[in-house]
Amino acid sequence: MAEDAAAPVPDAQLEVYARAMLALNGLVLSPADLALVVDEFRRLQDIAGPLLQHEMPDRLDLAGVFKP
Amino acid sequence: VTLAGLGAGETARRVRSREASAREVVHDTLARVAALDAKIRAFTEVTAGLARRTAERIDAVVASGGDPGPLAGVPFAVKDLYDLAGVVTRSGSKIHAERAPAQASATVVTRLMQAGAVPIGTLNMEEYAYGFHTDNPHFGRTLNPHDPARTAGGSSGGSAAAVAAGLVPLALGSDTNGSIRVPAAFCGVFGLKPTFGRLSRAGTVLFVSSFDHVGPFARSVADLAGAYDAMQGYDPADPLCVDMPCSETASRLELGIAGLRFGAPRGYFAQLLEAPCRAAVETVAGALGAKAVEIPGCIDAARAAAFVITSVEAMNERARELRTRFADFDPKTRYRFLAGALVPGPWYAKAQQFRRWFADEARRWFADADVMVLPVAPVQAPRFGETEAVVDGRSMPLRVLLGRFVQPLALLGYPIVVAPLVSDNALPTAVQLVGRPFEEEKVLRAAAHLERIGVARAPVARDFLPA
Repeated sequence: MAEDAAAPVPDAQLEVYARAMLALNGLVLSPADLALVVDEFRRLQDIAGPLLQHEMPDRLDLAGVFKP
Repeated sequence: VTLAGLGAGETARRVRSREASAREVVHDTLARVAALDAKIRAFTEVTAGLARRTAERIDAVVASGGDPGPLAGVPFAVKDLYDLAGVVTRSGSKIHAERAPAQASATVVTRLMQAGAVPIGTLNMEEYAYGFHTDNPHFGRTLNPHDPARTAGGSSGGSAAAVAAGLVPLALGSDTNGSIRVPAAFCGVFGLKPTFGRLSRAGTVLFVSSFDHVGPFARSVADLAGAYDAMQGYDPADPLCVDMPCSETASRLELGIAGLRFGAPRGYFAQLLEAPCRAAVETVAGALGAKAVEIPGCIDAARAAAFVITSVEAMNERARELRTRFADFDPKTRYRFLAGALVPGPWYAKAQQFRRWFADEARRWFADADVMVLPVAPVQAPRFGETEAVVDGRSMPLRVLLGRFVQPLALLGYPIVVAPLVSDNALPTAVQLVGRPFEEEKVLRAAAHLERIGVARAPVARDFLPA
């Protein structure tokens, strides 16, 4: 198993993933639009890096917040 | 002599004392908007009829010897995501512009009107509040009153610009990742992002519910505090509105900074700043006697968490419109929304988990300080078309830079006043004054002190001064 929080994903695989995820949300895009969404996601992935690498302590109080 | 361009406090004083009528104030304000708004394009709609009817009611109350409220006759305008009864709430969107007019006004709008304020119209914004420029393809580009070649900031750019140009003394905006703070800094006006949950969001179009705040802009701290006080109060219509007593702030500004301790964070918040923005922080920190505070190196992760939460919740809010009206979105925002659909679920869960942890960390920063002095943006208002800026010798995309100091704080929901530093012939700079949760009074007192000693000021932009 890789230890990195987020491993690199080749463009072709990411496009397949993007198409599937958008379809699951009821959206079918042209290849050009899909490429732009993937570009945006790449930016988001770069920005998310520090969060994904941040080691969270194992604390119950950090679990879900809903209280009935 | 025109009554437009006066501050809120002075306007209310004149109306309450019968030196002026609310109708005269509205007449002069509408004339000023008609004459000057074309220079900045802040308004998306002027509600002249509603304003005149409201003013007539206030004048009738004054004539009958009743109390017209602390904001009697004060003109205000709202970011175009607040419901105004009888007006279409566009939210910067061509799609929302086709909706029916709002049946009722947003809670905070109603409260301002109950305090005597008069709604003048709706103000331009980024489409669905997603961006820092207010360069809207459907309703136009709002220009900075201090330099029309530059952005007013966003997403509440119309609100900040209308106040900076003296078109209205008060405006309402919203802040998710900095959308009150950045335009307040770029336009040189005071802005308040209250504690998350302090003011009701009922009757506003949500962008990212986990972070959405509503708040006012003004040209003085007293006006800012007066508007905030009028809007306070629990509202069961917003499930995140906190049920706690109101805490009046305007009458406590005169306490000054006695007993307050100030901090100025090092590390992340002191890196990647243009010289004027760094100078603003140093000037304010010096004036307040702020002590250096070490901040742990987790701020990049905080910003990342804010991005992840924003992407997912924004996509969720607009999923239906994206499915049915994809082509009608601003091309700048539609792909940002859709990228949120690609975020793996565990990233979102971790971002919310990090938020809890980060809130615990942040409480420690305030162990020896009541108010922190932080930069707002790393740069002053950029020119339209600029995509990069050089800070600390590094060229960086503005899209990455503009939220650098405001977005990490979105996670915390702490109260923040933006205090502007405006000098002749220079673009505004500003600082964030950050307090502990529900301690709006302290950040407002700090801002009022800075205003009193002449460090912070928010005059009407030079080209808009009344003749």
